[in-house]
Amino acid sequence: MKKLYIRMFIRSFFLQSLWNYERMQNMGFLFVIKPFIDSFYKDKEDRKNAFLRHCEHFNTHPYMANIIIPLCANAEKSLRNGNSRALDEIHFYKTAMAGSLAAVGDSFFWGAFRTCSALISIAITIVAVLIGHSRSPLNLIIPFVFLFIFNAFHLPIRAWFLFIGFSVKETSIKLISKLQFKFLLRLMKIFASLFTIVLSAFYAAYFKGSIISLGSPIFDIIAAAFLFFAAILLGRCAPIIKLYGFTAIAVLISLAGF
Amino acid sequence: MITQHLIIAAMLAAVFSCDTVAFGQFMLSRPVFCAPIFAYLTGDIGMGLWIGMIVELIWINAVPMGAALPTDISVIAILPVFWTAQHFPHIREAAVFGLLLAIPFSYFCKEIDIAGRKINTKIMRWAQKGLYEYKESRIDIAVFAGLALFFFKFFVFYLIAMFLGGILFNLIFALFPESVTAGFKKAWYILPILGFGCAIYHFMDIKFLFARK
Repeated sequence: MKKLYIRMFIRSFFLQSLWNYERMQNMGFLFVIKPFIDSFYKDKEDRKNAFLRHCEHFNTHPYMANIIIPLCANAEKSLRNGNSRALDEIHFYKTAMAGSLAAVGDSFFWGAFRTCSALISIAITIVAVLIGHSRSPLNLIIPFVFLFIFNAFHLPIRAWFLFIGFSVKETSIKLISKLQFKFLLRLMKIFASLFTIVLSAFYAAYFKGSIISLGSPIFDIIAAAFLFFAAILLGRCAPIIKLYGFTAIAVLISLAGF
Repeated sequence: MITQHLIIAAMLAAVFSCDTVAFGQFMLSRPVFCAPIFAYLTGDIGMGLWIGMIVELIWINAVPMGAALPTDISVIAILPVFWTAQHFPHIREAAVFGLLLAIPFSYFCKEIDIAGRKINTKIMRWAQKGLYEYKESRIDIAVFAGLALFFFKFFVFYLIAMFLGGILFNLIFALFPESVTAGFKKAWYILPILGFGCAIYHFMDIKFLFARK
């Protein structure tokens, strides 16, 4: 059985390989659950019906799908044992639960955890540039620091979601909710905000002359702070407009001789 | 030799881009990772780290959520690094211009991606039709075909963007007067500040008049 779960875990990386506008992750879901269905439906007709059942629309966060997959697999098993309510359960997991789990996954994994990992890597980059080692091949470690932090946390969590779903069935939801994603999200956002403020102050202090040169270090820092607050105030604008706009400002500053 | 480099670079970039949606989501496609790797292979890791940092910070909240497709930021991170290494090695102002030029290409890439996903719908229907005829193997074939299609469309896109974009990059950058390129050099240091501002906006629930979420 363990081999089967590992196979399903590896297959879960392909969840979005056939992402389509009509039913989104439906074929990916079927691809993940296929070995499980193959293992206990020996009759061709039963297998066909099971596969067609899972052709319906499915879309969630790719990491959080590993919570829904074992629940659907367990429901599929109880359906074979004659529990007619299992059909409704499958539909519930794949519609109502998928949406709320997607929101948790998007905000926690991609909105907070990924950005925190990236900020650590960015901080190391700035330090490497400051100490004058920006071209050293040793800097190859920096992007891998980001990759390691992110994957060392997210991969075991993804695997745990899948295995816990098979071992404790519906109780897995209670266990997963004990992870306090909302609290962790808040904590990470506070950490990231403070870290970004410190990092930007550090950056402005050390690169003040290169950013803008008004003749006095204090004026240089004030000008950098002004640009920083302008960037925050422009928060709602499209990133592309901000990028072009700030480059135009840089050209104007340069033309003005600052 | 140049063609060989171009093909290898396009293949590697396509592998990174596939990570965004099609396979794994291990974050290989994030600028903070793919730009330095590309820059290391082309000989200037410092530039890649800086470009990666700028793009990552400015597009800090750009992830594909649901059916929404954000701008492909791996394109914005990889193309300037490649173009600069090919035509103006170690020149920071050229990298900034590359960043500006890569944005229209990222929109083009997004359109190609949308077209590819429409083909995925046809593959999905083909697989479902096969299930009615007891052809279960079509599930595996369809998923791998989808992945191959993702890879292929990114590979072709990068091949065109790296070659034609490179020519365009070379021609336009050479036309800029020195006063403008000096501005680009300044932008090299100003753009991270914009990035920090974007990051703060993303993390904090700020309720400024013009920055209300």
